[in-house]
Amino acid sequence: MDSFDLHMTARTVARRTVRYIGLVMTRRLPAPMVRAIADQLPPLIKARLRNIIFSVPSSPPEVEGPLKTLVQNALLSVKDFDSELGWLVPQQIQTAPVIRPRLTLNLHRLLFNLIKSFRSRPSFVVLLNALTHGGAELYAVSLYKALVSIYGPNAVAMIVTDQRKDTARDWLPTDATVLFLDDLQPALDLVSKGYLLRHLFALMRPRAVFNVNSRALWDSLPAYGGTIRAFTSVYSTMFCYDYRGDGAKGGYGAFSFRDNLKHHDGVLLDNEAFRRQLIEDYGVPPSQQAKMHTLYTPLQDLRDDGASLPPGGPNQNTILWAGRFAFQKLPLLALEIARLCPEYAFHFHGEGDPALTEQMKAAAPSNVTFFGRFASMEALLREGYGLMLYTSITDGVPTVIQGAARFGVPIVAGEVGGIPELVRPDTGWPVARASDAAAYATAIRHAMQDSEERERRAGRMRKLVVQQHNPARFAVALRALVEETSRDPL
Amino acid sequence: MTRSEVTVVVNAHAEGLMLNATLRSVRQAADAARAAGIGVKAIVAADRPDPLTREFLANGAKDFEVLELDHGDLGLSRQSAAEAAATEWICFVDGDDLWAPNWIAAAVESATRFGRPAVWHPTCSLYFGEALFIYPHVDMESPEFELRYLAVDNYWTSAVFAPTEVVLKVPFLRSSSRDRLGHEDWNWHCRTIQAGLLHKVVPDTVHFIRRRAGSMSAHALQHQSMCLPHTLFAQLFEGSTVFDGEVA
Repeated sequence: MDSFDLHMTARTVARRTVRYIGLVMTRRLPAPMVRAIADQLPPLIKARLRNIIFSVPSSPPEVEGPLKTLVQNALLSVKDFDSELGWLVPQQIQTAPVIRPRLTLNLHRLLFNLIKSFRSRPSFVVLLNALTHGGAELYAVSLYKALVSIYGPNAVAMIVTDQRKDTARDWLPTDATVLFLDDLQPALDLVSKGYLLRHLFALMRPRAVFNVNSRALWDSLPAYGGTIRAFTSVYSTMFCYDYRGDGAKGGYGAFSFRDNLKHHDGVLLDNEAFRRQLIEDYGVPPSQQAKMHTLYTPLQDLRDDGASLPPGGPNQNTILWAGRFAFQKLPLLALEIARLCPEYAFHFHGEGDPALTEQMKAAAPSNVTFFGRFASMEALLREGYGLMLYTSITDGVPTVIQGAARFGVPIVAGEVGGIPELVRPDTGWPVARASDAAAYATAIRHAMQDSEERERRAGRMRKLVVQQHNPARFAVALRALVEETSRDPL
Repeated sequence: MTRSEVTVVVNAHAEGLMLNATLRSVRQAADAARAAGIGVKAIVAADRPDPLTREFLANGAKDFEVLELDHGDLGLSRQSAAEAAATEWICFVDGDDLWAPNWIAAAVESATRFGRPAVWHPTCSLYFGEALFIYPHVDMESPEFELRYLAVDNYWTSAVFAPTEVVLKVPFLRSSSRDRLGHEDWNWHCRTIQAGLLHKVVPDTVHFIRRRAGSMSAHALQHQSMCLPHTLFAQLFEGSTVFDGEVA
């Protein structure tokens, strides 16, 4: 080791530096070992690392000297017992690093800062990727609110793990405990976030963790799922597959569900169809099926349910399409449907993929108007549209459909994913051939030409959604699930 | 017949001939203790020993009581040995590590002088083999000690000296390498602190800890084990200052 500095090539330095950083980041070795390796790095590299992730501790010479003398003397009495000890010469003991157990890793600092962010020890933690206006995020907020309603505000915390986005902060009460991992340190990598989460759970011992599309947690489960479950009960959500342009399945259902189901106390789904599909796609046996629970997204608080809206507004003959401009939502199919129904005006509200948006604007027939991003679904629905058209390759039970159903807006939608759980022949106009524009056009005409039937089906739909997506029912089911399946870790 | 005061427990599994160095260092330390008037009982807790280890023990450990166990777990093996100890004190050494000769006698002297139950560690450990470094052990009463360090890492090794009663009252737990929960000693250290015990350092003592690719600790490291669950920090979460302060 003494000739190290003289003979180490640049390549070796680079290799050891990368290995060292890897060890620190993935924490393959405990801190003392990592520091021992760091001591082998040239001073310049060590100084650089000190500023990034590591401060290399050193013992004062007046402490190290007597310690090394003690070791050297003790070694004399055992060196005949073992040749590895016998081979050591005094010079090696004198130059051996003294590794003091101290908190030196940047991750330690971040962990303690994270812990200090909590006002109290929560019993439940809801994890989500980003606090934005999306269906998954709404589900996370619903879990948070339901848990607070059952166990009280101090018992629940939310941790936003992947992105520092909080545009939907208004969905939560102002006094909610919401922490963002990216507030600890900007651009924190997922490996470090996984480390922080599992050590946080080990110390906090929450009764349950609810994972809503948190990549930091999903990525930790293959290696640490068993460990994390020793400290808490784990639940994750599943909504639907994501589909690539060529039809290949993606998302957590495609890449994470199969191998991590064993690390769960429960999987929550917002529709029964995806539950059945996962069971079929992976051949999930009955014992594991019992872990999969369908809890429909509860309806959010609205100022009113639209029942007081006067009939026959200016948009009564206009058809609403609202959503993300993404391949999965089939907006080009929706435009084709509009082209087949020139007698009606179509309002497209939303935004998304810029290239797709350009393509849509180029392909739009003259009866289509684009309105861009919408502030709230409730505000849109209050504009009194005569019908809502919903297109998608697959979905759970979309929140825009729930909203339209609650407001009594008749719905024409493809029979995909969880949509038929709301849009049935008696509550709306489901379209079995979900990629056939002509089939949608026929359904739209049937609906638009019979105002009494529209009213009847919309009325039944309103009853169904209020019953099926009832917040109190969600809370009761969640409580039963937690009480029956979570394990008290303390 | 002299009453044994200290039980030395050598934990063995598949060390094979490496055990000879450990037993020689234990004999040396036991002889030094006996010379100081301390009774010493020596046990090898052989947990599912491999054939070579079993054969070695049959021939080379005739002055040790060999306790053959079927736990497949280090924590439970330590516990079985403690139950068989029947002495005031107990100390552990893994079957590939060594002690300096003054360990037992110095530990008894420190523990007796301290007068209260405590867990004792050497002044430092020399890690040798695949790594070479000196690891000073931290006394809980020294300013260097920070309780929160135990939240992220283990301060001490498993080669402790303690009242046997402490091990019986705060038993070692089964570790679960399948779930990456190892370090039964880390967990035990936390729980003994929670039980109100101090971890102290015996002056002028050294242990020699072998680092090898196939050792149990290397196995735990390779699998990135975490500490087995305990509640030392859970109660400290609310309004506690234990996590305050700057990291060096």
